Amino acid sequence: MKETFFRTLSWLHTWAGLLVCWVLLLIFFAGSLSYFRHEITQWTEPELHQGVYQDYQSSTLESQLDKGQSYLEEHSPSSVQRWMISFPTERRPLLSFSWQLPPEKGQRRGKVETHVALADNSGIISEVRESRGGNFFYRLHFDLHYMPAITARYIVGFCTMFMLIALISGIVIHKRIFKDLFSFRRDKGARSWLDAHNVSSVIALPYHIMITYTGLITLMLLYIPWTVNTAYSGDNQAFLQDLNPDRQTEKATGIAATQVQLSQLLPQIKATWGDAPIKQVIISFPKDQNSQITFYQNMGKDVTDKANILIFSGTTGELKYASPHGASGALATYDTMMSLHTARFAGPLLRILFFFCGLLGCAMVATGTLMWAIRIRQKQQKLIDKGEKPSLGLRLVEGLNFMFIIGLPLGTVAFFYANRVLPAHLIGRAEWEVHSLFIALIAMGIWAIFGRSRRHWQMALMITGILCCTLPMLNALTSPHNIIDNIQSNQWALVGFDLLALLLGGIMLFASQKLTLITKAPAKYPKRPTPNSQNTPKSSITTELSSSLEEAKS
Amino acid sequence: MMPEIIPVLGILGLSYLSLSLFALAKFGHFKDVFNRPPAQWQSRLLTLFAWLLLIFSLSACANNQGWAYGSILFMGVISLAAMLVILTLSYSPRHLPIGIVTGSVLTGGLILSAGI
Repeated sequence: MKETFFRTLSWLHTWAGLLVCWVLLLIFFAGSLSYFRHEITQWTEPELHQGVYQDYQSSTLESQLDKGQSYLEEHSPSSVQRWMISFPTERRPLLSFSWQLPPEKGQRRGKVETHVALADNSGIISEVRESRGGNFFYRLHFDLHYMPAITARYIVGFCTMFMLIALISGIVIHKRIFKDLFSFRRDKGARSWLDAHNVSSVIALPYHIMITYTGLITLMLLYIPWTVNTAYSGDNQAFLQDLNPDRQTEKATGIAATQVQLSQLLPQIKATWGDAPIKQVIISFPKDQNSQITFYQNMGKDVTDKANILIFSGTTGELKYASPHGASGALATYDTMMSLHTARFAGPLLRILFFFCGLLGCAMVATGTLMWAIRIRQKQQKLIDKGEKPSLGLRLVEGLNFMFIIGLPLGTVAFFYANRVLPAHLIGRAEWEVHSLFIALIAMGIWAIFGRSRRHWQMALMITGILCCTLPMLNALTSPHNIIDNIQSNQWALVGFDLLALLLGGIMLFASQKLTLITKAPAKYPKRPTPNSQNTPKSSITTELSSSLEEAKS
Repeated sequence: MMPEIIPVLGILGLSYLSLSLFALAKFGHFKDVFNRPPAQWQSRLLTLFAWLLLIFSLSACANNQGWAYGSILFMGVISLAAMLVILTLSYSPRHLPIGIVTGSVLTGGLILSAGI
């Protein structure tokens, strides 16, 4: 009974994982990059690398609000839906004025145009290249691309569910989860892959479970709409209104009215919030009778995703709504889970750690699927040696592995190159940046059709590594500053981008180098002596585990 | 960023210490490092100290960053520390004692200076 139980779960783990692994890899990869959403956006707007960075200062709020309001009144088209004034935050240290146009046909949201104030108050930068920057990776994480968002979210939810199944079954079949916690036996072929798979899963296990589960929670109302449907008899609007009492339901009246001066509201805000920093002001339907002004507080490191807001009438300046303190148990739980997933509260160090855990997640998925391919190839080796072709499944998995594991980083690098190399006024520029990512991905897929051996991996890794390592050089050539200037002027987001590119590129080159050694000395490789003795009790269990995995696959 | 990094480095050092003791309490790793198997009392003592250090590093983290933020940060730090222990064990197990000594000196200094 016990044996069948483990065998069944091994089978489940293998197939649940294998079925969704490439989409999962994409989701994990895009999600990890999304931790640096604003930093990536900052990198992709080199026009803003000079003269705009400033810190939040409560003393200048009044003049900044006045300036923003008069700028928006003067420059925004009359049809706009919203004005936005964003104050400097830790992660986006600039003052920007933007407006949102009404949505075009077939679009849900209108286009946002953003102008950024120079830090010394001497002017405004209105020409910034069109790029989706970090927001692209954020959307890619759950909306994928080239398909309707809702379809994509169902796909993502399906994959997440499988991920959860694979995680739980993985914990069960990993019989030596604590005993083998620190075991990574290098240079031992398939066993090393199993160790790498275990290590990357287990050391970040709390993170993996948290991120998978909360990932499902973020979109739970889409996946399980029936509770809401029953409680509100299908009236989704009423539910949303109860969930977010601050949601604006009033439409524009079309009757013109005078807009209240924003800076006049500051004393009222100070009375409620004290000296808490303000993140953003949004004025909906400016100069309309139903205009509404919403102030958003910068929540700093609070573990919450809920905005603390104050809403004023746009014409009279009367306070209409203030976020209440405390929330019901269910709402607080939901909020904590949401915030754990989005990690908006995370300071730079925690953000880096989250990113690291996300990369471990990518490694977990990648090693899992690579291991599958290695095992199956071993099984078919005799037939392949006789001149037969590897089975279709094996070829497919190997090809997709090559395509996604190399293609995703390469595509991302291509995205950044496109960001800097494409002409600034190209029509559909932002879309072409995105296309370049997928072109690189597909190119890797085509490459995989023609060859997927170690030599090909080594070459592809080398190309990706070199391109990644040269990103800082690209930045130095196509933006006003290079990495040394940025260190001197404390632009840690830009410095961090460059360092991370060097680090990840370095790892890829290291991997490529390693593959070169193996390709050159294939005979020596399995016999290499290691400090780990083969006779320790560990190895027997691992072989047992791997053989049970093998059986499960057959 | 700078004021944040010092206590967190201290906590990283603590977790590294704790996890290396956990690793040393295991038969195989102890043998890789010291070239002889551990006695049972050695294993038990190592595990005990490892647990104490782990609890201490969690409480230091919570103390320094608050329970909500601190416990989340701790999960991240412990993953990184585990990675470092694994890399030490797999690439040069003999250097683990050196890592432990450096880790404790570093941790002690950082904790004193940050006053966790």
